Amino acid sequence: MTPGILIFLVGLYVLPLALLWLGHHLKRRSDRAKRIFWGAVIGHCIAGTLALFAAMMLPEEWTAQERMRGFLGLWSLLIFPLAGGIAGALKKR
Amino acid sequence: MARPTVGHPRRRQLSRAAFYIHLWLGVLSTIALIAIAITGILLNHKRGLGLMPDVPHEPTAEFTAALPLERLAYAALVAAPQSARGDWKEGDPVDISLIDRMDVRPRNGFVKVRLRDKASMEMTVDIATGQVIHTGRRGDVFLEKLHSGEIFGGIRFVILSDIAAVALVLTLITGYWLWLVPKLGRGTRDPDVTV
Repeated sequence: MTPGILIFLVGLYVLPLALLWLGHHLKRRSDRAKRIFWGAVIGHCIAGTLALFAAMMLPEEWTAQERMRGFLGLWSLLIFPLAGGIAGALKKR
Repeated sequence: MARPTVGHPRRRQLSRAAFYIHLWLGVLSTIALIAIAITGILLNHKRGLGLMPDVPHEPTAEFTAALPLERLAYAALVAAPQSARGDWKEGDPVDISLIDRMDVRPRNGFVKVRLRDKASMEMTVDIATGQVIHTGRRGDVFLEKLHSGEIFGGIRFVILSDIAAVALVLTLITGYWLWLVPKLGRGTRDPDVTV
């Protein structure tokens, strides 16, 4: 398994699990936790859309040389939500 | 006198479980299911979208006059782009490791020779004359692999689409439960009992 596939699986299944856990009783959580949650959710939604476009952009074999496609299709599912969560944590009220 | 409420807590527990299964599986499988749905639609319309070459052709001779498979494969390899056939060159014996499959269509009088390169190059060859009618990529092969999850590392990754399919089934069942059970409960509720 390549690092890209591992990151993809984490972004596809583990991260939404973490977001579900964080979203449980969200109203009772701190404002910072709420901002992290929404930042990560927005990041994941954007990443999911981009990943779908990247996957179906060119209907032929996905090669290791296609860096942008690899980034959007595999890595973005983890990196974008993390970036969103960090942005939410750093954002001042 | 109030009717015994045996079964109601159990139904409430089941509804609660159905709600959480519906929520968690729905969120977890969203991206995978969207990908499977979109690739499924594209595959349904692969001819119209030009993902798969559609070569209209009539047989040029009787099927008994068809050339041997080796000759047809050779003709296809000669017509293939250099990137698809690797080190193989005209005059070499047919390298079967380059060929994925040969799909013979006797009623159309041709054979589709698909190569094992990254773009799944396919040559359509007349089975009677050996003439190459069409050369092009098979875009639907990639979509099929994406649809099944195979694209992420072979047949083992078909488990990804299996997980999404099981999640979809469970989400549908729990969705029906959450929709119907309150309606059933409303119909059988004792007017004397207040919840």
